[in-house]
Amino acid sequence: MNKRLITLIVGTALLLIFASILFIFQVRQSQTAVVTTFGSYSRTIDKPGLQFKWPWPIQKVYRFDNRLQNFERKFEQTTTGDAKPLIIEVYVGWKISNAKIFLERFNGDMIKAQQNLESLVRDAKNSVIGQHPFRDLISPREEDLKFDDIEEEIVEAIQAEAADDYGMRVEFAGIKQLGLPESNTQKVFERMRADRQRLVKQFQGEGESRAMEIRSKAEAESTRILNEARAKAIEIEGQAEARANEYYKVFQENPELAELLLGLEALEAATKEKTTIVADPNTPPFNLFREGVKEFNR
Amino acid sequence: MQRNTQKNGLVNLLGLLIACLAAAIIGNVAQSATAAVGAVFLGVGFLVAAISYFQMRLEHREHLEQLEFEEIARDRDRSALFDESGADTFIARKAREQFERYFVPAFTALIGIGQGLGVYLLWKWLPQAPLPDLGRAPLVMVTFSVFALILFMLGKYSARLAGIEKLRLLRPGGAYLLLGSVISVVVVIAFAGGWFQFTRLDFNLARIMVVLLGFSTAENFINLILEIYRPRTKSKSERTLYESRLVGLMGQPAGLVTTAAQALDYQFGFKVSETWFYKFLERALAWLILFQLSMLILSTTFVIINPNELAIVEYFGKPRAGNSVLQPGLHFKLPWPIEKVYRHPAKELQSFNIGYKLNDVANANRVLLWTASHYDEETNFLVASKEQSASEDDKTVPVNLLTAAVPIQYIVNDFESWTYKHSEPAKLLESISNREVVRYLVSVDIIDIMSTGRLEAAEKLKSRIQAQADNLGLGVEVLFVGLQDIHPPIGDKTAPVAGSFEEVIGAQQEMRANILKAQGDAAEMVPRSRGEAAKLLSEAKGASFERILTSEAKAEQFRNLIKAYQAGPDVFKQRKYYGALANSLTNIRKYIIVPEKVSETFQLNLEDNIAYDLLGARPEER
Repeated sequence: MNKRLITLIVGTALLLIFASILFIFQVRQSQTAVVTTFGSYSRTIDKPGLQFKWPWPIQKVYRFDNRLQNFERKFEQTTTGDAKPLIIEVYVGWKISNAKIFLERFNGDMIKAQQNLESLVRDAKNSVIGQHPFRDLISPREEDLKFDDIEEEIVEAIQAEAADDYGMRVEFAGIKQLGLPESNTQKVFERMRADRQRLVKQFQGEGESRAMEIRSKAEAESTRILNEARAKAIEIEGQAEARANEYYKVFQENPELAELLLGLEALEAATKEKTTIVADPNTPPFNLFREGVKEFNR
Repeated sequence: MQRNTQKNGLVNLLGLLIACLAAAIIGNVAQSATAAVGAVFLGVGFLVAAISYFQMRLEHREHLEQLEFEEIARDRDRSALFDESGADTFIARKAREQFERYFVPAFTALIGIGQGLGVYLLWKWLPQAPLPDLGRAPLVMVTFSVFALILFMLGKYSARLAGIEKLRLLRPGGAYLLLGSVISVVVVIAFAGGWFQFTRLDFNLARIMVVLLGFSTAENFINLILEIYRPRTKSKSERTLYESRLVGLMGQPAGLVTTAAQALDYQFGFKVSETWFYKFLERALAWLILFQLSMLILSTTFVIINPNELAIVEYFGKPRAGNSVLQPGLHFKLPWPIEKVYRHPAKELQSFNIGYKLNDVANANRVLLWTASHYDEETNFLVASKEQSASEDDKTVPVNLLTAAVPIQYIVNDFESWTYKHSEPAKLLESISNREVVRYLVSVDIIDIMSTGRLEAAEKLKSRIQAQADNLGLGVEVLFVGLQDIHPPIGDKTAPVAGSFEEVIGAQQEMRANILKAQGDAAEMVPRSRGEAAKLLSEAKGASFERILTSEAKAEQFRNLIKAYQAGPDVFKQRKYYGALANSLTNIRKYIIVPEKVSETFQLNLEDNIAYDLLGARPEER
């Protein structure tokens, strides 16, 4: 009896577990579930918890991730409004807004859904970028940039269609990467290099002119200093001359003597070097020679 | 009693159907090869149970007919009105005989063909069958353990009943039920093996099962052939045509064990099968299985979170109210599947790089130069240019390219947001960080960012990435944004860009050198001229001093000479004259001509003696 009771309890418990596997399913916080009855849509469950269903194959449960999905594509070339080529990589954040439509359109296949979203995004991206000149994307003046607006425009361009046709809500779009095609990259390289070489020349020229300027200033300064000094020297000489003249007034006391002394002084100075004197015997004291010759001849 | 067996037959039928479907579904969901092969076995079992059920109904009808006939016979004894007794009377018996003669062999043959086809297809499919999905192992193991028990109880009941009551028709279904229970155990073993890294166990067990299915098929056909040569007796055969002896054997490994045990007993001379341990095992096997199952459930009531992890507990899919996030350590929870735990290394510092990829970590120690590539893959970012945007008629695109390496580190600080708001939060953070770097660079000047704007840029990037992450509810804290490398792209052979940037720096240095040199020259020139000026002045002063003193002295001398002159003017004059003459003429060349007659002519060569002059020496110094 006791043994049978245990068997009964165990059996019932096992039966309950088995039944719960068939009739009950869980929906996670991060999930949205769609229940179909014989293939046709019955209900959408977007609250987490335990839910009842009829066992397969009567009812079937499709579970979708209700979190924000991040979708991005690799680089793709496009053209700006002013016909400049650009490579751009965009990411898009979306989530399932209408699980019924999403199930119908893609049969619950996330990859298929993203492939379809991709065509929408590409189309929107190309048309939005095509309406903006290049400087809206890249400019050192913050007020010229329309980077954030462009992202907004891409979202706006796909939002309605994604919601109505795909059951998706596109929440944001961002430009993940910008680049240039290979040939343009080459040109930019060349231009950057030319730009740098211009700077090299500029610096070289600037250096030389600055050096020259500094040097000429210094030269002018030293010339000024020297000239001032010379002027000062002349002034000093003049003053000295004036003082000397004061003293020479004394010569006025005896002009005859002064004349003699000055004459003799001049004579001395004039005959100091490399002078050949041809003296005739009348000049004293050489007249003494004549006297001597006369005596000798006598 | 007859009704009772019919009911049993129906239960067998339904049990096998459910087990077959469940095995097929779970086999498909959990990718279990053993379950798939098991489903085929159970499907055959279902067909066998179905045919026995029909046969049972026919026998039941025959029995009723018999009873009716006996009653009529008794009545006839009383009335003796009808005297008709012929083959037409026993319609049910005839139907049963027809059924056994034609339908049963045909059906058995069909089952055999179906089995053979199944063996062929399964054998071909097995090598490419996927490995079991171990993520569903707990579900599969629990479900099949339950199956094993239910099927075992049903099968054992049918087999016992058949054994006691001599009800041959209950036997085939019962045997298949027991086989189903064994198959369930095999599936559990296959998954347990997978759990312990024996991933091929499932495949190998499935292959053995296919071989056994093949044997069963062969047995089926042998039975059919033997049936043709069986002596036809009036009595019902002990064994139905479609009953497989092999299945009976496979379904009762216990029977096999008993036989083996009896053989052992015979060998050893004492009854091994009656030892304490053997008896205990036989009695407690069900309890042991139950115990193991409950241990399995119990083991899901606690969880250990590693130091680098955080986990979230969900109560029937909802985050547990109050404390849904589990910190590292031991935690208790309600058993699976009521509460489930999802863990993530959220406490770990996570990082990614923008602008470069470093494939070869061993190479990370080399010297980093602008002119040589630092990393295995570098991204060229577009950067604005003040000079360039000024002249926008340029044919080329008005941008510069820049290589930047921005490592970013972060931790998860709001685990619930991190888990529930985004399907790939790490990837999204990478995308928005990339976007912020691109967004920042398109608005700054290339030279600014490489020099003065660098520190500011790292700060700005960090705050912008954090703001974006908060805005999207990523639940992360950005700890570090580094601008560890920011430099012009290397360029290529025809246009080495980074090299030309270095040339500019060279030119700048050269310019500075030029200027400094000029400043040095200037610094030398001005003081030198000041010195010269000072020299000039002091010379002038000296000269004037000398002149003044000289003139003063001469004036004084003159005053004194006046006195001497006035004392004897002629003598003074003579003295002075001859003194001067002596002074002047001492060292010079002199010709003194003393002519005899006035008319005499003298010729004198007054040319300088060159040699004399060249030597610069005077005759008396020689």
